[in-house]
Amino acid sequence: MVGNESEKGDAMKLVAVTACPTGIAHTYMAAEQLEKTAKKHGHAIKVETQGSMGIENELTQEEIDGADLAIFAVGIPVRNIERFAKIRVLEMPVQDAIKNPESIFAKLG
Amino acid sequence: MALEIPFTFPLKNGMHARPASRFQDVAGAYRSSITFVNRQTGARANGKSTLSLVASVTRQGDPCALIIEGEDEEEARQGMQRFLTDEFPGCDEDLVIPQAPGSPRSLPRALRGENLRIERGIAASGGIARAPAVLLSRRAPGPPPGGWPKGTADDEVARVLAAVRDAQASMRARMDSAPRGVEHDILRAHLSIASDPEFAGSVEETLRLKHCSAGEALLETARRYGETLSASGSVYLRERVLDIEDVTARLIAALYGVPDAGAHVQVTDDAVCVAESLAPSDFIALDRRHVRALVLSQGGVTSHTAILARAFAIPCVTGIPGIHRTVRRAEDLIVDADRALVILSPPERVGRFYDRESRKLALMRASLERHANLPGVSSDGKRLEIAANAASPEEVGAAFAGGAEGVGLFRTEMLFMGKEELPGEEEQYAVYAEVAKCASGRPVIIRTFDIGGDKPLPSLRIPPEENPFLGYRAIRLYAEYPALINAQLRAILRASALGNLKVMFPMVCSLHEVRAMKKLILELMKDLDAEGAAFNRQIPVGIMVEIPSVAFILDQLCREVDFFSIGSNDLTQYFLAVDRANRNVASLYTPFHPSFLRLLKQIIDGVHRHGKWIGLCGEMGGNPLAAPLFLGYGIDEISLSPSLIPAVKDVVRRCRVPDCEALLSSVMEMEDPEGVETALKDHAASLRGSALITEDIVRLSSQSASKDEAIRELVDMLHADGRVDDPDAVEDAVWLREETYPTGMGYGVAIPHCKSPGVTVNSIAVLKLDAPVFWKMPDQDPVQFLILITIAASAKGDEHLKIIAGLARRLVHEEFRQQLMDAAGPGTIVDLLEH
Repeated sequence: MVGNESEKGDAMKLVAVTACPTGIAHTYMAAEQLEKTAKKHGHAIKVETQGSMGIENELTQEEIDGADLAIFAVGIPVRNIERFAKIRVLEMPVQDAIKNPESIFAKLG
Repeated sequence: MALEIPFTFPLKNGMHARPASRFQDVAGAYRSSITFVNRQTGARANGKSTLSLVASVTRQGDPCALIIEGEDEEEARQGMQRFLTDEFPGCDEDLVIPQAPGSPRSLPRALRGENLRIERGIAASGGIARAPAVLLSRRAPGPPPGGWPKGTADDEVARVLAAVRDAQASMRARMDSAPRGVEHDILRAHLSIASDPEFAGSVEETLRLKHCSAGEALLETARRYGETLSASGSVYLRERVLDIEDVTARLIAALYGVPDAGAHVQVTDDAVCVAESLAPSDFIALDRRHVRALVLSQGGVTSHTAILARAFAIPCVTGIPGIHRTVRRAEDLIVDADRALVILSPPERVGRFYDRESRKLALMRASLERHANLPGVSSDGKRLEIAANAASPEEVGAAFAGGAEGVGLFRTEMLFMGKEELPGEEEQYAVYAEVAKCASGRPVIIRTFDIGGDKPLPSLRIPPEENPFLGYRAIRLYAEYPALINAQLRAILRASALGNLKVMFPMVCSLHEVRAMKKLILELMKDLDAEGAAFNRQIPVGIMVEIPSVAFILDQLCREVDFFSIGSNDLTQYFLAVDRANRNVASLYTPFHPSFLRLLKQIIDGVHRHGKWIGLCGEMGGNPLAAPLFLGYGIDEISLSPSLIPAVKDVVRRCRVPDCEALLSSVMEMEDPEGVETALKDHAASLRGSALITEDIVRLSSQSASKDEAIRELVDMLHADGRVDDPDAVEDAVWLREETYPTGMGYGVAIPHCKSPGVTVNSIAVLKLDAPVFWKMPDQDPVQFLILITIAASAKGDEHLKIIAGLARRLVHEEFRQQLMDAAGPGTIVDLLEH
């Protein structure tokens, strides 16, 4: 299932974390935007939200280790960040993920 | 030999003019001398002199004594003892002191920023007003042009006495024309200063000693009393200095024909009156229709002027040093007494803020009133009559205006209290007739006098009792005082020809008491027939349920009476054997004791089994938490303090009977009152916001012209809808979030949001602006569609958060945003956002 990384534009396996200061809205908007855009580009993605309802859709170590890349769309420090010690992380402000998701995926190549 | 009564001074506000004048009235009835001694300070005062008593500067807890000497000393001792135990502790009405000036609260956003001239003080009476300033100067009384004229000492004494008599007469005349209430009481306090033997004595002494003029002697006397009071540790007593100066100024004005200071003040157009300080009589002399607000540099919240301002609902801010010099004549002022501040020459944006603020507050008041006039009925159609407790025709009128559907308890003790002569039939008839007219057909339950116990009556000379609540009171007295009860019943019967009156007897514990009263009513009806007087032959006769024994003979009582009303205060304390005034056991006093809730069920079911009507008229009726229980019981009526009617009605109208019945069954099974209260609070919370959004918090046309105004408008919408109780705090929380990074999400949409303790109900509010505003920076991100999300700091349960998270996710999709922008009306928006 793992995509072929050598080929530009090929399907990737992504994990992501979204989090914002109040955890009420932007966390979820960013998650939705990442899921929507990843799907459009044919990538597989699982997004963990760290918001007012706590950690949801939590990423397991296995899932993280098996992914090609982690995306942090956050306005506050990521909780349990040690899980991501071994993976390449692309970090950006949460509002960038909401407003310009395409630019993130453009960078993936 | 002198007799002595030791006692501890009971009044919270010390010995001030009102209790002192009552003390003087009672002491004055005896020939013996009565000296008041404060053993703490060593001060001695003539018990028959209000001023001398006030000048004793006595504070709560001071050890005191009365020393009584003279021919009727034994009688005086008994009378004063009774007065001190029974009446005096109740002489001090609780001062309603608005929020103490603690740390100044932060200002709402609109009032921050430079170039604003804001003066902060102490709120003495709440409200908001805007008008041009009128400066009132208070002239210290001084000599007339040409100096103080001076005659012989005897002449001058005679002049002073004549002026005092004139002043008394004019104060009495004003008291007669003043409506009962605060103004009347204050005039009475001033009258007692003017009539004070010590005051006149001191003036005379000064005159003879110093060979000065009457005017100088008056000023000297006022100064001496003023010094004593100013030196006292009590803020309240210090503020009485103004009362003495006020009376002195009037006496001098009368003596020398100079016009009263107040007469100089003319307020002919709406104005904010600004003064260094304002004497109560000057305030009374103002044309109150035009006084929009009062701003004073001196004076506290307990001055008589402040009390008057509250009584007339005029916003008042005091304690702004020098404000009378800072403000220019006719300067535009906004007085925000709710925030204890005054804004001088406000700029346009502040004016706009207050226009909206006033409109919002007016709306909130109107909605409460509109609400108050809807019938008492549950959301599923069960009727619960919501009536008022009252004690005067004025209160009855106000209660009906405020949404009462009847009067469930008209107390008549007040007609008897504080009177030298007991009221006769005609005086009572006038009152009951007025009440019947005010009610225009709505039911009024008049309770015959409940005197004794906590409401002693000096003129009945009931000997002091060890245990007055278990003693000689109410219906138990009637046999000894047939003239009193006959006069009262005749008055009620005659008034029953004019309206829907019912008569109710207090403190009934057995059948024979009811039979005796019914027999008496029949006899009185015969007399009235013989006299040709009109009355309602079918007047319903009922009893209070206060004594637990009644609960066990309801079958017998139902054969004799037409209705019952539960007096929950006394019933609770008799049933639980708790004296609520006894601090050591007061915590045991609660109507939410499961045993008491079961007792109520037994009583209400018992009465209904016999087809009779039953209401409740204790404090429990005014507790919004208890309202669902009454629907659960199926009681016919609750009667409460008029001011609580809107809140209780609001709860009743939200309740569903099956829920209330289930709630009642579950709380009756609980083991302690705390559990009951928690269950009632949970139920109350469930009645409030279950909906995150309703059409009331969607507005599709707004003229807000900036991000600031738009956010404030949204917060105000939630405030007006009862979803936010601290709009300034919520506004701040939203801005704090905006400052992290603005919540504009492009496409003309922004979703400001916050979590704050100022939020009572989690909400989503929507505002569409007529013209877009800049959200982030000028020329960037214009926003026209705002969705404000507010979450209570204490929000528990994730249900709302889930909905909001879902909403946030959907907003990412353009089709959804387009649907919102194109929505034809609030209903569509609610449908879109709710799911």
